[in-house]
Amino acid sequence: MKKTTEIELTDKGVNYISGEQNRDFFVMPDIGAEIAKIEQQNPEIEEEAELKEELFKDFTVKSERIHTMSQLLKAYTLFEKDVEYVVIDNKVMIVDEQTGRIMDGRRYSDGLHQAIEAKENVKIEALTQTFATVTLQNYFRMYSKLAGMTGTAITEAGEFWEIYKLDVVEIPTNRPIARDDRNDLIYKTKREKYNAIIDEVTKLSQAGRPVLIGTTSVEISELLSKLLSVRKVPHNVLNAKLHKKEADVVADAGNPGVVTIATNMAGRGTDIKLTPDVKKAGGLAIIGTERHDSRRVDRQLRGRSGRQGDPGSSQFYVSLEDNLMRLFGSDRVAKMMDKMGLEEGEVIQHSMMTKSIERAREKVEENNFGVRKRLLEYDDVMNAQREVVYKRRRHALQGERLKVDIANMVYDTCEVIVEGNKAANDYKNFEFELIKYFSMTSPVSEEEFGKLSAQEITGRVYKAGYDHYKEKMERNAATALPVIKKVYEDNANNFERIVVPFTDGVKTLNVVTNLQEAYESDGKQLVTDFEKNISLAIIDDSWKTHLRKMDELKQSVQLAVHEQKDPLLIYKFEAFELFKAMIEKVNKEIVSFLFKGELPSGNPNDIREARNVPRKKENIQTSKEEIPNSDELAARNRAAGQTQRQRPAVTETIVREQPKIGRNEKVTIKNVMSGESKTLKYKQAEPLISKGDWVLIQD
Amino acid sequence: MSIINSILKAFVGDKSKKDVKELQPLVDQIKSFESEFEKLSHDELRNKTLYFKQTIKDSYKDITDKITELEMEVQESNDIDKNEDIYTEIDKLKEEAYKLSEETLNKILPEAFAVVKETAKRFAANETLTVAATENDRKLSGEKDYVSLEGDNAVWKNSWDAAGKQVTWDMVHYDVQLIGGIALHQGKIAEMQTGEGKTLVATLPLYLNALTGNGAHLVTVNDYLAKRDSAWMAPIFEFHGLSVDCIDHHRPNSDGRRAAYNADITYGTNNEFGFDYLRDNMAHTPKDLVQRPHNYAIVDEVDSVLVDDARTPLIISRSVPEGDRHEFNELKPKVSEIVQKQRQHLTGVLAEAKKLIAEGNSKEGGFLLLRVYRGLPKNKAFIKFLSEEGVKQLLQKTENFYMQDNNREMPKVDEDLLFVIDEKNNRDRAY
Repeated sequence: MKKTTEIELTDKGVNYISGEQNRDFFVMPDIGAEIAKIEQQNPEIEEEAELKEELFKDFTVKSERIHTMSQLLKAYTLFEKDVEYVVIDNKVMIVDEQTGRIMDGRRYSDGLHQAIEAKENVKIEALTQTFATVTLQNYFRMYSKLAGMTGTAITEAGEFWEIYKLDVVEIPTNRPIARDDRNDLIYKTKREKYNAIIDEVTKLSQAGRPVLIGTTSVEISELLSKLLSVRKVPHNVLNAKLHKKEADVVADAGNPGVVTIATNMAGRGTDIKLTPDVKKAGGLAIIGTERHDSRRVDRQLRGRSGRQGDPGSSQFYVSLEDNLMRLFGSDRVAKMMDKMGLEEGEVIQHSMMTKSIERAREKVEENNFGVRKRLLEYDDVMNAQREVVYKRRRHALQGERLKVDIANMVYDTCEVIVEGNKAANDYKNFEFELIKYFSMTSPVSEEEFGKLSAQEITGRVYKAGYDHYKEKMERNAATALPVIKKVYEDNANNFERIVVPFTDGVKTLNVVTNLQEAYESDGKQLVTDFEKNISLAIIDDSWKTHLRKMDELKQSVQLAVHEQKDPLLIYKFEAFELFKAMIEKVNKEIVSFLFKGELPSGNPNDIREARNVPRKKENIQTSKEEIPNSDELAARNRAAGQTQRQRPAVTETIVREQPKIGRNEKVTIKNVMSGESKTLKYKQAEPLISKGDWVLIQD
Repeated sequence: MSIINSILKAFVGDKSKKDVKELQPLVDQIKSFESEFEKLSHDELRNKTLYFKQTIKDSYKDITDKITELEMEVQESNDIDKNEDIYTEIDKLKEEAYKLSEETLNKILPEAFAVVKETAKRFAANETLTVAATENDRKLSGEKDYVSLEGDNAVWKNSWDAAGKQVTWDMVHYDVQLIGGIALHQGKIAEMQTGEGKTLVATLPLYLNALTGNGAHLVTVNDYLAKRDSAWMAPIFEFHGLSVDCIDHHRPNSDGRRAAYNADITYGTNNEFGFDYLRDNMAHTPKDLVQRPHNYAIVDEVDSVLVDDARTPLIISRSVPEGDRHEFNELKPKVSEIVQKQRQHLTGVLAEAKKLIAEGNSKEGGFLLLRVYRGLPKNKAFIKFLSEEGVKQLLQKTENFYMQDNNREMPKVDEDLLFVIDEKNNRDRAY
């Protein structure tokens, strides 16, 4: 909601705020008119460039100011303390709209958070800026060869193949599995289920068998712990992620009669080893207190028993009140149970039941896969962009291939300038831009500019530009050399690396270079390092800004749903546009600095020693959002599933009104965009309809 | 799914059985070396590694030479277009070299796996192994308790400290573990049941792939496992002159971290691998880089990493000082003032609107109501009034009227306001 809200001052508001003395405080310059004004004065071409720069600067400052104003207005009018946010310990914290929970560590973007901080008179925190980000999935995809190990992958084999092109091979066990996997025991209510579990655990423990109880949540672990305490059955509970200690408790879990309660993910990677006595008594007994949404998690629990051909057993307990059963397929199971005439407290154990639960879970898994795949598609966009930028960065860092990249940047910039101005047939602006970016006059006359094709002009400009660049770099080396010589030959200076300031007239960037190498290469090394440092600084800076924009884009496209559009499609399109603009900007900035950059003076005192400062670490934070384990994810999905259920879905009603269609029946569908109609089998039409571009037409 | 599965099985057979059957000949080949290798002295067994390494290098020697040649050419040339072509050519050659080395690895797989298995056997059967001391043995004898020097010989013990726990080597690879190792070498996911010794299985492909010298990574879910497994398995590799390290022992950006990546075999946690990649892409000199090109990785608990953890990104961020960019404090008093002024004014407007609507003048009343809405949509009295019957509809109707023709009439509504709040799209939520 906050995203689409726009707040603007009216003319009346602007007047009110600016007061008498400062009328232009908020008034954006009219770029077009101002440019025309400058051109009318007919100044020297260099002066004209300067005046226009000035104009653009004014524009930037004002637009920042108006943005700040607008965020402050939002903070004052749309965000209420203790509703949208709270103030705790002098910090503004966001309250989650849906859950009412405080979202610690999250901040509104784009200056809004700072605006609220200003409103509440607390310290305005600095912006945290993302410098680099990657998902583990995309990190591992970079390996030339990737392999994986796990106890449970086969149920996800389709996903591994489709997304990572990883084949899953089931390795047979060394000895046959002797574990007794029993069919699920199904109860009507949770209460009956827990009672039965406690009875069974007590019996097993007394028989000298270790028992591992797997739960789907901490609450259930605690409930069972209480019930066992009542029966005076000693037991351990594993909840937290205490890696080492956890391993110890798990290692102990194989001793006679020991009962361990653990959430499903606890203790991965550690073995439960059995004593000979335990093996004789029947091995480790696994008790599952609920079927998990994902079969993989249940298999993991089950797999803790029966290692290396050891004896063991596993038994899952299910009740019709369990979330999974409530949401999926419980109607049928309940009907079946009624038919069988089940009484309170009675239990049913039947392979048909187990299968019906299995089917319900396949449905859930498919659904979850779909969600993950979609999110990965968002991530892919970013990944492709990162690869391009990091490759360039690496070239700049290593230096070797940078010269080729720079030549390409010069060419691309030429192309952009030529094409833009050729289309507008604006020779004057063309000249202006050549001065702005390349500091050179046009190699083509106005007449030629009109006659030649864009490609021909680009070729000419590129050639002139690149020659000019090479000369310029030689000149830079020559200018710097005497200074470097003086520093190097002065015995008082025992420097290894030196800092040389370069300026393009507006900003100054420091270039670090090895003194001896610079000296021995007649200043050429300095030029190489100049190219390297400038490219790195500009790439890094632009990438950071781009990351922020991409983040904002990702949030804002979600609103496209309201307009019946696919957010992913819009995201892909907009992300590409943003990226193109960023690369263009990087090219122009690097080129312009390289062409203009000069040693400010020939004074050796400007050159200092570059001390080996340890890399700047201040405030660098690494973070990964706490990953909800699959139980929590499942709980969240369930919650989401329930809210969806409450909302009457329009599409659903339409579907119900139609008679059921057989999968092989012929149907006619129509494309909503083009109006094209097709007749085909329903099973072929289904995927098209679900995409939303096609609708079913009734005959 | 289960029905489809059984139908599929009827046509193409059980996939898992088929997979395993395909790998069986390789297992037989590995075992065919067994009797031969048993007869080798410890030193002869160790020499196998040198031989493998040489075989791999030889297999793409021509390409390496050509790359060196091209690299020299590019250094001497100033022709940008030509250089670009040369770089493309170099990249292509590197890919070819990788393919050739992979082919060689496939060829030597049976023999190499047999060497690892034989090594495991010897560590399991002997308390100490005495060998002619190499440079590497001498270095290790100063660092590790399980290697000592006796004159020109080095003595390897079969008992060592694995992250706080003393272990005595007692494992030898089963046939199914060989199958698992092959699958991992082939870049697949090996599903192995708990207790089937995944840590030991990984030694086979790690050894084989480390022979190229391009690095082999084993990725775990937590640092306890990374440290334990690296210490537990290290002597098996080190015996053959391969270096083993764990990134979690060293600080980020440190020389130790870089050394760990330069080791033949590197253990570590998934997050640290990822963060090092990001840090490398923030480096300012090539000297700061710690990682090499990503060659081969085995991800432990791969389902947990690629499925459960999916899409939570690793992030490196830094607080940036605001500098002169934002003028929050400077603008704040003014904003506070005009918000206050607008509120006072609109309180009066709302009262007027209520009065008019009550009198039945819905045209004027709706107009004023819309003005309040555009001025302060979240005002409490306003929201309360909206919940009265018919008011919301009146507002909607009035707004629709003024929004016609691209807000043509809207300035009339806004003319009285200092600022306008325009809630697009999801107007419904604001009501």
